[in-house]
Amino acid sequence: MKYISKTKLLAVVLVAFTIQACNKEEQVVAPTIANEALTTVSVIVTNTLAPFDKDTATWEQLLDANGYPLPVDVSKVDLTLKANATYTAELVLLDKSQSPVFNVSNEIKERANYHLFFYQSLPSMSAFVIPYTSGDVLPDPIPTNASTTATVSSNALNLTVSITDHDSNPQVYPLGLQSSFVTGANSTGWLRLMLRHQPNSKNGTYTPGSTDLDVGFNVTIQ
Amino acid sequence: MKTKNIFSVLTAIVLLTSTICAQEESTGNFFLGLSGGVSAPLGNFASTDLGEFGSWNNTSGFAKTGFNIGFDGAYYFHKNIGVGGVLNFSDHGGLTKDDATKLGDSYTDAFGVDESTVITNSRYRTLNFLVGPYFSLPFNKFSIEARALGGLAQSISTPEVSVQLEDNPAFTQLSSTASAFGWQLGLGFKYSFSEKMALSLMCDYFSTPGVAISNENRSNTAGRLVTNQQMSWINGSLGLAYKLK
Repeated sequence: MKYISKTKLLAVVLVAFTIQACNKEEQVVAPTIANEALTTVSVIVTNTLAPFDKDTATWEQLLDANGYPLPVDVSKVDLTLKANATYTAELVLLDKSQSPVFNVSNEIKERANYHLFFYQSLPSMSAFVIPYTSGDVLPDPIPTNASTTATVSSNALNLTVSITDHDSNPQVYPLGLQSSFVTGANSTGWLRLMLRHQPNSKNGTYTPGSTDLDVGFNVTIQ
Repeated sequence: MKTKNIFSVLTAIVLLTSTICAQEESTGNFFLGLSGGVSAPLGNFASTDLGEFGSWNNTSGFAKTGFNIGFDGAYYFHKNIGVGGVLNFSDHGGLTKDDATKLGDSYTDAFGVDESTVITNSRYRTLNFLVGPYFSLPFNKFSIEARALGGLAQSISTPEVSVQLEDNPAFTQLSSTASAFGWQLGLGFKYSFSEKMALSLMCDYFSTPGVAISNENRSNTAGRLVTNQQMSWINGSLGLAYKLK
């Protein structure tokens, strides 16, 4: 009996040792191998009632031979819209540092489940969709004195942007490559466009994630 | 290290068999056995293919060749036909550093981040309790043995994978203790080296449609997401059988 008890004990110990000895933890860090540059952003608007009424504004910041950003080209950032009209708007994002030019919009569409665009009309009478944060640097061509810290009671840009495309998350969050621009009375101001990258944290709000893109346009409604 | 582990298991088998032999008495037309050996994962369970962006493979298991150890017993109500069952433990390892790197690369790409940190621990350990018909075709001291079994596949653990995208909160594929239906087909032979004792060599194919895998803190649909782990493997086992009658 004594012999049997010892062998039982030994067998259990051997099996337990064999199983536990192999139960180890592994940890690795896997870096990315490449990232696209967002050099060129175009907003293409089409009047829903007059399809010939189109306009395109383009914000561009190319890279030098060493990959460093050149000054922002604001020569084509003016967007002119008719008052009291509705436009469909489409964003086209390009990486012109690659040859051939790479269409980043398609990439973002494929990765819609963790990307979200925010459109901020400035000055604004409504609550900001892009909240003001201390040290916020406005993108060209939006001047530093543009009201980004608080809403205004007059002289607001009468432009309301509603996102019309969505991702494939179960909650179906907006994306923002496609949107609707609804204009009001004549006014001038700026449109700030921001792309938030929210990996595994997209919830329809601005807060999670980091900013991939922050650009601006001059807007005239007449 | 692997050889050392296998040796330890085989030693345990022999010792446990001696224990059973010392305790049992011939009380009926039964046999009891203890066996163990190598267990090789197959198909998706063994696969390390992660797919690619837009079509991630959510079924590959990264299982490794490991070992199995088990008890079995059967009652023969006919000289060729019986009913019986097995209680079998299988271990198919965990994720290696290379596996974790591969997973990390896939999550880095899937979520378009600068880096992913992947931490893995735990391993595939499964306990099966299966019953069904046994068949025996004796030739002198040899007999050809076959069995077709079905029953419970109980996961004791599966690899846990925790992924942190840059500095975002980590999400985790949890270790599973779920159960599922499993089935097994086996073929082999026995050699009776004494009136009561036989040496067996069996080859068994086991399969289960899968055990449920839970995930924690997955907020967006992107990247590989495992919710069910199909398992299949082939066991090659050497064992000792004790005839009770």
